[in-house]
Amino acid sequence: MKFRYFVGISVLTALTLLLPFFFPIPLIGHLSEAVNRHILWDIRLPVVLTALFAGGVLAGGGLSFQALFRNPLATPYTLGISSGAAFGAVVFIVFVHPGGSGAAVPVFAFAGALCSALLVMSFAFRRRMVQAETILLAGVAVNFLFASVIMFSQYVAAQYEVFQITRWLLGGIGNAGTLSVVLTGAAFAGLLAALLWLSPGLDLSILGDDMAASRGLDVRRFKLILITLVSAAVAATIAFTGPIGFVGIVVPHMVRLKLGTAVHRRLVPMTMAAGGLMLAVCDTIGRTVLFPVTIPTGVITALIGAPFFLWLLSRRSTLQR
Amino acid sequence: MLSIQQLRYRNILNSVDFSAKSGEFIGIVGPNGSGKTTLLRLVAGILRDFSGKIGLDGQNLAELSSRQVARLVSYVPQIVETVIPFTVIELLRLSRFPYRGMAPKRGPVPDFEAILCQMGISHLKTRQVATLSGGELQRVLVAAALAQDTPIVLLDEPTSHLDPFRAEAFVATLASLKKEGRHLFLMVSHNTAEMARLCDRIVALKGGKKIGEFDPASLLEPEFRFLIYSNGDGDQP
Repeated sequence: MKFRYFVGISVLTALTLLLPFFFPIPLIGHLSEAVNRHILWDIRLPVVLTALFAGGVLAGGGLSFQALFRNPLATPYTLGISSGAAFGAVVFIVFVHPGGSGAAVPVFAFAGALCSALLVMSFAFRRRMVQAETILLAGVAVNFLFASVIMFSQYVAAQYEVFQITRWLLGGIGNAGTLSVVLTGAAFAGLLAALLWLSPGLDLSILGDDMAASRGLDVRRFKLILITLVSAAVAATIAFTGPIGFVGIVVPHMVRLKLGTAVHRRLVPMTMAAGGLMLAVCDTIGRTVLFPVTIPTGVITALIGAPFFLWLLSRRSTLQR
Repeated sequence: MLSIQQLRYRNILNSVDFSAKSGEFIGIVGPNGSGKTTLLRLVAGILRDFSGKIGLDGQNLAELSSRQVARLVSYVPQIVETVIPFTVIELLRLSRFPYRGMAPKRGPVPDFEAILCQMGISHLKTRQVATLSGGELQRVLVAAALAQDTPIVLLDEPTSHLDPFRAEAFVATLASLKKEGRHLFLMVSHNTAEMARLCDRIVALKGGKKIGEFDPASLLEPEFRFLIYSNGDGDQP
């Protein structure tokens, strides 16, 4: 049974990697072969690879946070990491390099994301006992803090800058290249290995702090390690993609419903593969359906994902944690 | 096996001393808020910033890692509204964490079937824990503690959610476990009749202090009940 899913995921991934060879190349078939090859290898393939890795990281981050906080609504952005990244991007767009190109936005977004994660953790981990609620509420507070700074920046920014900010906040994989492939790929591989290794701890976390601790899990240290790892991986991803929503919260639930298990050693690989596939497919759809207009990926993920998820939910009566 | 000396925890526990040896069944009684559950959570290694000394099998709990403590003590918590999204056998496997850590297949594998059989729940092996009744869940939680294979087992009000019929059957199962003599049991309960039946000794707490150790039969006498459960400010038992 596991083997069947593995084969299915492999085939789908291979198909997704082949997508750029079919879409939207045929639509611009009048270009020379050299130009086509350049579009395919240097533009399309990095985008698809970045989408695969980024989707995997977001879904893996959502899966582990939902277990750690024992909250089905947790996402990789729960601790304010997306508004931290947005804050970084906005600082660059409005204050550091006003009116200029956005080439260095990922660097600032990454720094902002790490800032917000550090801020949340430095407040939440002061005490010996770290309750999930404390971390969640610290995340909410940090989210609001950065959001208000972003709103202020938009208020004082020039029209063109506001447009840039809005586009960034929509989320997308437009400016993918070798760097984004390497970094999101490293984040994906690192997070996959870490979550597989830590999966017994994730299983125990679901039982609650007392039962986890009485079975020998050092709850505080585990939370610290997991949040650090997920935050680093998500920060590296969001720096290139912007805050793409929906993948991180819903893909884990879809995989749980589909596999019918809560054992993380089985959930982790499927969730990260499915998250990558969903983002890559959504991105391709966004680039092709209204060609030559590109719909931002962040719009497509929810537009397609939400109805699909509602349909899944209506078939199963309970949402498992 | 277990020795507790001068145990203090914040303003909840204030100087608790007692010791117990393997094969004993110790009951812990006291009014609400007297620190019974806190005492169990301290012995289980869940709360660690205490003062005083908890000795487990000759070792100092404060110097042991979480996993080392979990190889000596297992804890059956009060049933709470936690949704456990695992099957029964998956939950039992999680009890092997003290031996395996993050590695899935390391360490000895106990006979899960025998444990389920002992608790009378072999038929529930592949059931989702979330679909169990209160009585079934309580037996599964004890089975999970037994799967942890520890010399000390802590039980926190294990019969409080059971109907009288199932509570009686559950107490009979505990009595048969006690007869094996392989564990030291510490049980918190407000049901004096079942305490009198199961326990070898009663440790009474009040206001975070140990007020004494009693013969279990005395729990059935009104004067002792008043002594144990009254607040000392004129209230009626």
